[in-house]
Amino acid sequence: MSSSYPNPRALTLPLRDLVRGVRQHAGPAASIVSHALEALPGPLRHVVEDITPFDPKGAGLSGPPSPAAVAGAAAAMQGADMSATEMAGCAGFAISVLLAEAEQPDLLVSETILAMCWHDAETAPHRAAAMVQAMIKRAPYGVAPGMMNAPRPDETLALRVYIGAVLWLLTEPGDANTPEEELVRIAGWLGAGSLDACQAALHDPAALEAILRDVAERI
Amino acid sequence: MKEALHVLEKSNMPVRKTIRRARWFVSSFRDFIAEVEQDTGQVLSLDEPKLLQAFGNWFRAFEAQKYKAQEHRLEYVTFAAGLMLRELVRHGPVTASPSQGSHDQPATFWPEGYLYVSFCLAVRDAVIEQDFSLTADTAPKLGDLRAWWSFRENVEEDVNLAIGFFEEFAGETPNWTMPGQFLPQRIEKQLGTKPQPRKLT
Repeated sequence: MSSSYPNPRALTLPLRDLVRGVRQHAGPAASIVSHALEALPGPLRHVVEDITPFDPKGAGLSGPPSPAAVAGAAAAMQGADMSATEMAGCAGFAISVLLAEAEQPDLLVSETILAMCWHDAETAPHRAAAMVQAMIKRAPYGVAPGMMNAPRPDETLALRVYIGAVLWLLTEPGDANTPEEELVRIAGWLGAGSLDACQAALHDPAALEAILRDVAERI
Repeated sequence: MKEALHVLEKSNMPVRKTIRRARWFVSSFRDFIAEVEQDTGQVLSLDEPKLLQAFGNWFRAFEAQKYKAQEHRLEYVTFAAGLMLRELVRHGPVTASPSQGSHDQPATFWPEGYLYVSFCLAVRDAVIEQDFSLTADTAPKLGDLRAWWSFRENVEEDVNLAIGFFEEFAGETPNWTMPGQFLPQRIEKQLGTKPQPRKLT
């Protein structure tokens, strides 16, 4: 059986997703053992801390992508080439910022699924619209398996997050005055204002692309 | 106070275009708040989502009537800044901490309104200076507490009146009948009788 998508087993991304998932589970454990850690000698304490790092914002995703990657993502949205790994890193960063903004930092973002979304979108004539549609179809974030208390993702939030993320991908990079996290938040707020229009155009890629580009120009 | 908009100069676009980009709008507004806080001693807090809502609504309102401005670009600058004031008043993104002092100055009587008007005037003046090489005369109504009292009370009833008050603060004759509509013919008639921005020397 053949597939037009890359075999996830061939990517290193699933491992990264897996590690983030493990770290998410390690978070509560780390907070429980934090007092006990203080009693351990330095070297041993550092080893244990290295096993259980937990980033409450973005469930362990790394920080903003490099300016070159951000510029590359904007160019890719216009038709340039970009590797699925790089695009997944950029999109994952935007989604994690938007989830933190929506006070849902515990949801796990999968760069593997985002890479697949990009594979769907990069061959489409309207890439930004196709990326939103692919994210709706594939749901690149959710509750990590085994998390008992995490909130269930809601669909309105998901659409807002996908639109905000794609708007940020479309826009030109920030600078010292406006860092990327702020641009993502601006994209999220402006995206929320155009949610109804985007929703109405969800099945019309050309119309959705036009709306997304129009809003992105305002960022 | 248009000097407080220096952040806009970092963009390589003219002010009239820069201010239509959310990233520059937000950063210049944030800088402006810091400037007003320093000048007035007020403590002001900003709700950025509300500011972005105001920006989004202003942008749509600006674009919707831009076609009427082709032959009347200078007049449209003031009108567009008035639209900006309307949306800032409507969404109220800034909250001033209560202060104990006297409230006999516009900046202390209604700190949020004073900030919005000052920001919109600064944007208007910067665009007029850059695009038309004109500088605006000081408007006497700007320091008139009765005008501010009326402004605050009236916009609570009808937020569109913010545009008329802005035109008054900018030294132009307000359109009180349909303040939300750009009527260049009406302005043209007034141009012969009203003091106009003067040429930069």
